[in-house]
Amino acid sequence: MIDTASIVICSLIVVYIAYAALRLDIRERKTGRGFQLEKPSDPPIS
Amino acid sequence: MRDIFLLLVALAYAFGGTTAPFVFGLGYLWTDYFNPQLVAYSFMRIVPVSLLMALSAALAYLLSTKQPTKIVPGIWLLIVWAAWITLTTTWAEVPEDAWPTWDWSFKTVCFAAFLPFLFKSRVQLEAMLLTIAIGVSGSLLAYSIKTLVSGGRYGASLSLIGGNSGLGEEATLACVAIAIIPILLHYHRHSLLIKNRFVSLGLFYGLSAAAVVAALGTFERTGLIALIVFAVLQWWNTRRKLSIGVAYILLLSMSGYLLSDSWFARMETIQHPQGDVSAMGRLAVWAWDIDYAMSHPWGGGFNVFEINHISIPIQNSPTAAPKMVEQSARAPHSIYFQVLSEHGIVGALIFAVILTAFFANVRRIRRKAGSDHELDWASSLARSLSASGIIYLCGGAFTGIAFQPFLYDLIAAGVILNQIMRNLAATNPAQSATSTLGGGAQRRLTEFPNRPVVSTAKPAFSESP
Repeated sequence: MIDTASIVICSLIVVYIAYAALRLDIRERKTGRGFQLEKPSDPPIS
Repeated sequence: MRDIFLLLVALAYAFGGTTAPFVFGLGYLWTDYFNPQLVAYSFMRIVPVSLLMALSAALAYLLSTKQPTKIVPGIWLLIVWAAWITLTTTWAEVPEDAWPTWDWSFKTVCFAAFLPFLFKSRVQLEAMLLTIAIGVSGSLLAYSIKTLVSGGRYGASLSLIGGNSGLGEEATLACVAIAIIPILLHYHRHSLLIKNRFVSLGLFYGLSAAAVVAALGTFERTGLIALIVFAVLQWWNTRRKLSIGVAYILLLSMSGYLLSDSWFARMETIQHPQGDVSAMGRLAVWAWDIDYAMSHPWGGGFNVFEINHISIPIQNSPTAAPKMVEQSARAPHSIYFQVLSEHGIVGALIFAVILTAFFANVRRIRRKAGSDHELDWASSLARSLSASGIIYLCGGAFTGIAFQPFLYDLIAAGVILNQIMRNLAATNPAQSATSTLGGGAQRRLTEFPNRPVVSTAKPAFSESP
């Protein structure tokens, strides 16, 4: 039970991390900006 | 059911990897640390997830890259190390056991050398380090809960992963568990992926607490040493030295209520090893390792300890005469003596150069980024990598973990961070010539890992291992 809970929790977290990173990575490539989420008011860099 | 769940996780990585190669790299790291094949019950035990992820990552990188990543000195050092351990295996004293160990050790070093090709931006580096930390957490979360339920004991084998290798070995788990804490604490403050403050607090501090409980619950002296080193580093790096110092004193005074007598008895053997076969055996085998390296400076290959035969003097009381205990094939249980006997004086020198280059690299990053408020994340990450490395290497002085992936992945993370900093400087060369990394905050904070560098201006960060 404890083992299964650890497996499920940690696996879901790593999958979330992978997809959150992928989403941000795609956004970076599209906008050319790495930190838009941190500083939403920053002007885009040409 | 568990196998199907693990298969779905592997497929999720494979699906993401078709979009960006670094996700295959994350899949490999998850496999390396989480070991799904060891926690599965049926078909996932035989699926070579690690091999598939590594091959997919290499293939995806080759197909997607337009401008190959330059091989920097840090990567060259790992390649030299991989070549040297291969050479020493060719003249190994015990070839039938040396080659299987070489097999996974070689892959560990080679994949670490490949990581800077896959992970090139701050987001990707964060995903890499968090995947490692959470992968380790799979084992230590289960271990910590079982410790809280049962109280833990020496050799209880409460780990998620069975067996006596990798994170299934309790000294290794204790050392790595404490070594990931600086990384977890760094990402509590500087994560781009987990922005919710409460989730971040619960996840990173919760896992840090679980790491401490698991390390103590293993009853391994390595865990205590790693914990002391971590506490000293935290105190040294904090501005709130008084409050942290008071917290330590409070924790120490409460430790008598929280930890059992058997735990204290086990830890006391660090100070008084004379009556402990395990502790005295290490001292005896280290002496054998030094003698062996002096007579065989090229090393004896992996698992050379299998040919040793040592006499261990055990003194149960100060007045009693020492009793000699004979042991054979005693492992050195130390990174340094393991490298010295297995890969010789030459190998020890290469290993020392790799470690020196790693610490010099993160120190350089800290020095350059330290004064810039907007590069706090880089300075903090460099400090965390350095702290993790120190904890691992201090804990590793008492357990043979020279070829565990964590050390090499830390080194690779240092190389990647250095490359990110170089890219940051190169995107703004005019300003980097007049200040550490240039004056424009947004431009400094923007990463263009794949953008060709058009300027010939010297970057603020010189290339380094």
